[in-house]
Amino acid sequence: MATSPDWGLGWTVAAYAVSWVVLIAYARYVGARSRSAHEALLREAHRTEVRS
Amino acid sequence: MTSSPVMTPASAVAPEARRPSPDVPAPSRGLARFGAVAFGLVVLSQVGAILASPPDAAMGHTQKIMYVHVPTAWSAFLAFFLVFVYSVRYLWGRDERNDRMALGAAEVGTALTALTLAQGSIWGKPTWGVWWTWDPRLTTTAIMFLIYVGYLALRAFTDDHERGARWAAAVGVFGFINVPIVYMSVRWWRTIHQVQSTSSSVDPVYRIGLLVNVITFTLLVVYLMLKRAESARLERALDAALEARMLGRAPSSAGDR
Repeated sequence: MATSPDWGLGWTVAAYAVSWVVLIAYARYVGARSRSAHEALLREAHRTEVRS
Repeated sequence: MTSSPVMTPASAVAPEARRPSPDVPAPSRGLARFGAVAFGLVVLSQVGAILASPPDAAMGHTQKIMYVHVPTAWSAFLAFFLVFVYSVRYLWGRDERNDRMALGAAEVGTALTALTLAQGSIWGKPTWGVWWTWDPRLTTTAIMFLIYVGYLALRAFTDDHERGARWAAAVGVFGFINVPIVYMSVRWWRTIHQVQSTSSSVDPVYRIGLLVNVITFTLLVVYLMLKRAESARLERALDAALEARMLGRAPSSAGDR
């Protein structure tokens, strides 16, 4: 329990650091999925155009 | 046929193929802007609450973990409630859009539950003296996490997309039974976890900060769910396009809804 004015600061920083790493990693992951699928769709559309 | 994300750098796409085409579904710019605003609001509300609230007499600065732990746990509950709603709607009408929303909510909810458990452990070690204990709240939360990991595994390992969506929807409906149990576990059983942090149980000095953080974090989670549903829409459109090419017919627009 709290024994000094700064007690628990390190644990708090750790909790926020873990939270932001997970949130940013997940946001980047879903962004990458969207982007790569979109780029593959564009390539596919271009291929279809060229063939026709 | 299922697609895995093709991680191709933008530079690898031919310039002419990068040109926007009206027939090709694209990521929403409006959604991206909403996400940027939501991220910004979460940062501002967390910094504001942390700076404005004094250290707690008993818990010191660890009390401030509440501003991220409670919104994370609440958003996980919300996500699983949405899995339940969209799963019922999918089973009712077999509309792919409901299936994609259920998938987005389930994946985000599972990530948030894992994060809730991690944050709880980081708070528990200095406060309770242990990283983990088989307390009713912790145990039911771990069970909830495993149920939705199973939901995602079921989707990932079923070849037939429609059948996987149907089975997953059934898990999404029945799996939700555990969510109210997790929520009420702190009142139903003897537990070392404190009761739910609501306006009646939180000291007024921390109340506004908590409320603002719950609201902004919910916006962020809504963005993540919509973004995941969007990526599922694009991947299914890609599946349809690849399948059409293999079968030598015009691509269907099913994935573009």
